[in-house]
Amino acid sequence: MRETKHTLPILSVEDLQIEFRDHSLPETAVHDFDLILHAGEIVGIVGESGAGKSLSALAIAGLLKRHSAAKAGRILFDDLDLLNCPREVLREYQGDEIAVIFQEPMSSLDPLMRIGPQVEESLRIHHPDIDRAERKRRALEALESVGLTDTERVYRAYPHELSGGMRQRVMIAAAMIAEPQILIADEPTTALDVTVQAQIIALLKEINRTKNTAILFISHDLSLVRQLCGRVVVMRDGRIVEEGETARVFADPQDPYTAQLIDAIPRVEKKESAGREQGETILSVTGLDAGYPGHPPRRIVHDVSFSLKKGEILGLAGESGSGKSTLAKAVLGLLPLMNGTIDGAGLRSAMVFQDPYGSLNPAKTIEWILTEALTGGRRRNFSREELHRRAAAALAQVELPESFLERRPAELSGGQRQRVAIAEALIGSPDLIIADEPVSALDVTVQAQIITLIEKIRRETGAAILLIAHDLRVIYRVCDRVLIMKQGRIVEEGDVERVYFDPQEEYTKELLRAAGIGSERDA
Amino acid sequence: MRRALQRIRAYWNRSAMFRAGAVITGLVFFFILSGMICRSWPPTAMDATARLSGFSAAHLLGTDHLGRDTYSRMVSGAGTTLFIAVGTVLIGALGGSVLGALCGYFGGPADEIIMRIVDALFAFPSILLALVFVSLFGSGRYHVIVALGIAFIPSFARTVRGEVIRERERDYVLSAGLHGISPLRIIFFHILPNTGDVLLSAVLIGFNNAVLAEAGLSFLGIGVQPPDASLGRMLSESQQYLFSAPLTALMPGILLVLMILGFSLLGEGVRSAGN
Amino acid sequence: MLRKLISAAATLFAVSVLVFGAFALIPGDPALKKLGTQATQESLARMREQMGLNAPLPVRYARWAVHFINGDPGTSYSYDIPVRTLLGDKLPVTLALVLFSFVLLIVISIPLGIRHAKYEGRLFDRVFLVLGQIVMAIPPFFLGILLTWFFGIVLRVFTPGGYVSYRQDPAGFLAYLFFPALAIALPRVAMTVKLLRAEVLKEATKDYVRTAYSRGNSTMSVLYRHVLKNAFLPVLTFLAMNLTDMVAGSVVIEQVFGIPGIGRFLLVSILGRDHPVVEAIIMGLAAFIIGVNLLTDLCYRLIDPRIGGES
Repeated sequence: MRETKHTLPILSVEDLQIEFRDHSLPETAVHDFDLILHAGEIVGIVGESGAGKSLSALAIAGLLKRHSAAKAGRILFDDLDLLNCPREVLREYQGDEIAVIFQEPMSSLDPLMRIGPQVEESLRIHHPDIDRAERKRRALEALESVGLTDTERVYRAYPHELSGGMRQRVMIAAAMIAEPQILIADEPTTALDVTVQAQIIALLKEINRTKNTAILFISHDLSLVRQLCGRVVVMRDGRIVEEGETARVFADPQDPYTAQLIDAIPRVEKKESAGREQGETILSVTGLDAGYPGHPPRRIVHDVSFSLKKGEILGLAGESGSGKSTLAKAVLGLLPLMNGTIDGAGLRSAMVFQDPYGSLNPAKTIEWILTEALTGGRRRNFSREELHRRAAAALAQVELPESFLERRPAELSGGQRQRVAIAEALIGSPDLIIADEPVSALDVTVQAQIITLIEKIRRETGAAILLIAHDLRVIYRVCDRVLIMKQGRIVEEGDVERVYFDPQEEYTKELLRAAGIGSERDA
Repeated sequence: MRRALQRIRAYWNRSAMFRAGAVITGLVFFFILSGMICRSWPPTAMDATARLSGFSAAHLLGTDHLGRDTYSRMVSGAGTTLFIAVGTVLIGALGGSVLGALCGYFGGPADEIIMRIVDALFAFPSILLALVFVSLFGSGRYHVIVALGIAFIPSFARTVRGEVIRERERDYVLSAGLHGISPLRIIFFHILPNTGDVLLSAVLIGFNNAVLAEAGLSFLGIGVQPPDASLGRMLSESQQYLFSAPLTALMPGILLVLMILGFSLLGEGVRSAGN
Repeated sequence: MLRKLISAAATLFAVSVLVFGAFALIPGDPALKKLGTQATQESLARMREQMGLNAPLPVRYARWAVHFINGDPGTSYSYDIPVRTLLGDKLPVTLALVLFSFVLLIVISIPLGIRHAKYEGRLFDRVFLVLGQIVMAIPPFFLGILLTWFFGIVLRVFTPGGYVSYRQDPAGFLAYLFFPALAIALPRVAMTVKLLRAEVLKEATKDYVRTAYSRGNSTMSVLYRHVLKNAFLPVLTFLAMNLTDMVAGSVVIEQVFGIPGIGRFLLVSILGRDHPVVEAIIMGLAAFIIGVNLLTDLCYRLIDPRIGGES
């Protein structure tokens, strides 16, 4: 039945080629890109960073800087070639027939302009005949239709006064106000929390259903694409490697890379209980309150208790602002305790950070970074040979060759940097490693490799690991137990099997649902 | 050392401004060195037979109203100016970096108070600050160095503090703290190497400002005192003969512009190549 | 805003303590300075008593401050005339010069900066980049000499040294101020243009600009409706800083063009160690600078909704 709805092609991209003269950007080329978009359908473009998916979408939206890229091919809309027509003609379509929403709702709105005029802008440009009062009426209507309440207030607000989710709704309202035929959504939920993400996806679905707007959905997240899109295009290194009905592609991928991408998504299926022997408890936290001192002090974590055994991986899940990182900092002693006790006498601990670009000192060599971590800056106590040997051994543990010792962070890829960061944590033979979102900045295939590495390290070193992540799939894959955190409190705790397959708390259920785990589990 | 050369080559390759600045600064240094090696007249010698003369074989760039050789006075004046600029920047950069780094890293009330003072000083134009210092302590080349050096501390302190605060928030600093590395080592061995480009560019711009300020003070007659030659003083002395002998004023002025231009281009080049 | 006012007052107080302290503590006896080296011991002692120099420092500071607030910054050592009278007819001259050059700065640099950014990479842009860099490198006093030489001596557009008082001939006074004001303004024009260009180009790479284009805005309307307001914020601070720097510039330029303003008088007073005059001028400058900064803060609050919400 869906098929009959979109038989009419409204956009066709033929043989699109894009090449930047400046190859310093990660996404710098697109080759032989073909796409047909029918009225009312949702097509996903997926791929890892550097695949050229955003670049293709920007080209369709007419947003590539004209002089910076060499382009060839055709983008046909309304019998008009948008790629090769004059700017003035293209502008007639931008915002009116083709609208775009972007990844960062924070920065995609003009910070000095009130929401109202920004939402109305497409109307003002393309329908100058509509008077002010009518424009405002439609803007309020558009804000309401994206699920915002108190629209009068939102209309007068500035972007910084709204939350991330609200801003993305505002972006959608602004994009939809002129009722375009095509909505291009470039990673629209990547910067948002899972529950908000689910709401935005639902909103896009509803817009598609009620207004019959065709949506081109660009994402690196395959599970999102699977939830939303009828058809999917898989890209790699600037080329389309596979295209087809979403259900078919996921069930029976034809291209090995597609298969690899799908495999890289951690699955939530009943796993064999490994029957891991339980070690002694090395860390126990009771009744912990933590936060930032000041006037007045900000108490972020409330009454948290948990314990961690030797060789155990404990997951800590929750949305941004739930206090995960604050809890980690408190456990590491980076924040003063406001209440409660942390019992882990003589524990050697280390940390792995989310962003491997920020956690390695860019001015230093890998060897310097590793040995500095080993010696704590007191290099005189060690011989040069020993330092070198220990650094090389740490690299070997994370499966990197010794030759990397001389390199600097800028010369490594994201995955390699995260390996070095793990080596830096391991070099002091810690009993406890706290990993704060260690894979969320990485591409899915790299993510899978790092997860495997973390499991290997637990096996080989027996260190306890506290793994903080917002991605419930990652936690399920790696962890033995999980803590679910909300607004600074732990709302649910237990073995991952139990929590994922028999959640007790409404919030846990909501998180699982938002991550699309429920459907898979029931299947 | 090899890395320093690599950096310089990177600046050279990446920035046309750096190249232009290097060439101009090179020419200025060549001019000064050439004069030191083959100086036909001492800078203070007065040739009564040739006052306010134009270009000639005896006086390559002419003479001033007392018959002193413009060429050798320019060489000696530029030397003085450079000497003062180096001293000034040394005091300003060292004092400012240490102050800014400590304040930026540790924060707290001490930082609050020090930065309040630094901001107040910074809001005060540095040539006025130097004027006040000189009026308090007297003039002459060493007084000028100290006065300008102190006047330059605020801008270096602000720059370095800003950089340190920005870097301090980054995970590698947090990570260093977790490995038990002492705060002073973190500041000077972990953070400061990452501010290299910014600091170098600030130093070069500092040279530019120091030359400008010294020339300004000397022009006003409260900088370098006679018989020391100085480009600023040469300008103020020759100003009244602008009608009859414009070259006596234009020559030192052009040299001054080239010195300032060279340093500012180098500084801008480093900054633009850095990011 | 109230906090800003209090902190401004505190800064002014700190500056006054520093200034008074510095001049009170440096070697040199004001009484000796006033009476000359031939004065007898008794007359010196009497003079010290009369000048209140024997009181403890805090008392002297309090007296000085109270007088200052009441508009009486003391008496000049060199002229034995109230400082107020001495500065009275010089203040308008310097004020006119500084404002004149500030107006020139705004009028020239803002349109030029926008144009510059619009033509990024083209010939206009490149030529002005080089030109700007050179102009920035010319010290104001040399620029003054160059302008005097070229417009005064070669072209004879004005008479060097032909200053007329604003009391005699206001129009002629302003006309004479044109070149001095230009000499102060030009290097700053170059700096402002450069900053504005860089800020506009920086803003142009931001996400919201892409959003604006995606709605079908033309380049001009993206520039004028969105980019400029954002790009202007950092330029505002810079302009305010320039206003205070121009006061410093006027000291030098008044010297070059022979204008009897505050700057020139400050110089004479510094060389003559006329401390009451120097103190008064510095305090005036500090008040001016603090006032300008307060005003800048106020402007930010009006333009940027992100500031001011918190306090």
